Amino acid sequence: MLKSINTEAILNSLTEGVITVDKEFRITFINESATRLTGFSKDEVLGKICKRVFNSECCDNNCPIARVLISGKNIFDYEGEMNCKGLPPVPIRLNASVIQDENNIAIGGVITFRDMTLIREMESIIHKESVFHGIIAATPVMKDVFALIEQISGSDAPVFITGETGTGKEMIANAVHKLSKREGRSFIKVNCSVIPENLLGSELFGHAKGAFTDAQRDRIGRFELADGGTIFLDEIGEMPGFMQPQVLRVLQDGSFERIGESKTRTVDARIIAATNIDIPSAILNGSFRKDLYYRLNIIHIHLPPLRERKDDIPLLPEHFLKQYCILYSKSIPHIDEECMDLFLHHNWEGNIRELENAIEYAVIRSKPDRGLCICSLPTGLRQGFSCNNQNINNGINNKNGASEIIELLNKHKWNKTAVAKELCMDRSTLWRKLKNMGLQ
Amino acid sequence: MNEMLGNHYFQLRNFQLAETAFTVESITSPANLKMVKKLIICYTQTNKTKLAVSLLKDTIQKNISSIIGSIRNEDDCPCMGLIGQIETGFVVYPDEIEKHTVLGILWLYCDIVTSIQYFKMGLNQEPKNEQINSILQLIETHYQNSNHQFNP
Repeated sequence: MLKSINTEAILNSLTEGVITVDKEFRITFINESATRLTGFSKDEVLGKICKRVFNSECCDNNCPIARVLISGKNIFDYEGEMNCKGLPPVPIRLNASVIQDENNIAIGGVITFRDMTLIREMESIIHKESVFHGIIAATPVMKDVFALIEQISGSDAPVFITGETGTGKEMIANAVHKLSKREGRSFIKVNCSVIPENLLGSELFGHAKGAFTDAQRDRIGRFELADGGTIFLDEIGEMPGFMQPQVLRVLQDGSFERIGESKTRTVDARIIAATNIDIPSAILNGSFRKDLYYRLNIIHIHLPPLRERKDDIPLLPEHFLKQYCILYSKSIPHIDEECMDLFLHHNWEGNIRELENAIEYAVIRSKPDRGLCICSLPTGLRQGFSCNNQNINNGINNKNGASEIIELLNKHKWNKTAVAKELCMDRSTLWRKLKNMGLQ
Repeated sequence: MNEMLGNHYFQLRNFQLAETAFTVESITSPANLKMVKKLIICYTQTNKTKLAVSLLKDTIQKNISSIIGSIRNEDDCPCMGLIGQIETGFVVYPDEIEKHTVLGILWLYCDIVTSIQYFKMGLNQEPKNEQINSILQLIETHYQNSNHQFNP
C-alpha cells in the first residue's frame, strides 16, 4: 500500500520543511514546505552544497548532520536560525539524522525543521509588553501601584488588594510574590468563593485521617503548602464567618491545627488577600471581621476600575489584538478608529477581563488583513455605534453576500479552499452558501 | 561514515581532520577516486608532500581524467585559494622543490599547463626525482593526446 504512494508527495504534504543531502552535502531534495519557508525554489538549491545556499549559524562547525556523524546520535529539537532568500534569518527548530545504506555506510543526511517565528514573536510580545510583570498600564495611578509593589519587595507584611472584578488583582498578587524575597518558593492560590464552606477549613488547614467521612488519610492544607512562600487568598470577602478567626490566628502567630487533630502546627506563609467587595460595608453588616480586616490591611493596594484610567485603554486592545492574532493565526493589522472610540466610551463594568474577552471575540469573527471594526464586537458592546466597514468573516449577509463570495471566488480563481480560508469558514459551509446561491 | 565526515571537514578546510577521515575510508574503499583526489589535497596541506606525490602518481596512472580540472568547476574546490597563499608567499616552504611540487599538484586540479610548468621547475631542481618525472610524463602525454597546443 505504502509503496504505491509517491514518497515525494508524502514529504510535500508535511508542514515541516524537509531537506536531504548526499554524502558531499549537496542538496538532493527539498520539500514544498522548505521552499516556502526559505524562499528558495527547488531549481536554486538542488545539487548545491547545503552551506553555500543557507550559510547559516547551523552550518560549518554547527552542521547538525556532521554532529550526527561525529556523535552517532540523531539530533532533535536543535534551535538555530536559517538564512532565507532575501529575508532576515528565520528562527527554526530542527531534527537531523544520517541516511545509511544497507552496509551502514553514510550516504547522506536529512534535516526536518519548523519555523519558530510565531513562537518567538509571542515570546517577544510577552517580554516586551510586560510593562510591569505582564501588567499593561501607563497611567499615573497604576504607576503608583507598581512603585508601591517595588517599595514593599523587602517586606513580609500582608498585602490587601481591592478592586472591581476584572481589574487584575491576581496579576498584582503575582507581581508582589515575584518581587518579594520569597520568589522561587511556593505561591499557593486559593479562591475562597469557589470552595464549599464545609471543605474550606480542610483545604486551608488540612485534616487528619478519620476527621470526617471520606477523610481516609492525612491531608496537608494550603497554608502548609505555602510554608516559606506566599498564600494568595482571593475573594476573601466571601470567606464564611466561622473560618475567619482561624485565618486571623495564622496571621497573628502562624499557628493552626489540622481538622481532627489536636497538635498545633506553625507555618511561615506571607498572606496576600484580595476582594472585590466593599469591606467596610461588610464589616458594618457583620459578614467580615473587623480585626481580620485590620490584620490583612497592612499594605493596601487598590486597583482603580478601567473607566477611571481611560488613558490605559488604547494600550490594552492593541496588546490583546496581537496576542489573539498569534493565538488564532490571523493577521489583523490594526483596530479601526471608530472601534477604539467605542472602547474609550464604554463603561467597562467587567474591566480588563471584559475588554480582553471582547477583543478575543472580535478577532475570531474578523476577516484577515483588515482592521478590527465595530461590527466584529459583541452585540452588547456596540449598541448605539454603527459600523461602515463590515470586516467580519461570516458577516456575508443576505444583502451583499453573493457578490462578496463571487468576488473572492474570482480572486482565488474559484479555488474554494482558498476562499473558505479567507472567509474563515469550513469548506462545507462555503459549499452550502454556494448551493443556496445556485452556484454549486 | 568516514567519507561523509571527511567531506564535511574538507569543506571546512580542516585538512588535518579530513585527512584522518579519508585515510580510514581509503583502506576500505581505495578505488573511490572522488575521495582520493581530496585526500591528495589534504596531504599537500599537512606537510605530507611525498605521500601526496605518491598517491597522485598512482591515481593518474589509473585514471588521469579523474584529477585534471576535476574540482575547479565544483563549488567547494579549495585549490585556487591554497595556490594564492603559496604564490604570494603567505605560506612558506622549506625548499623550492617542495613548493613547486605542491603547486604542480594543486594546479593540476585547475590548469594543466601551469601544473606542467611547476612540475618542470621542480624537476629542474631535482632531476633524479623519478616520481615527479613519471607524473610529468603522464601529464604531458595526456595533454598532447588531448590535442592541445603546448608551448613549454
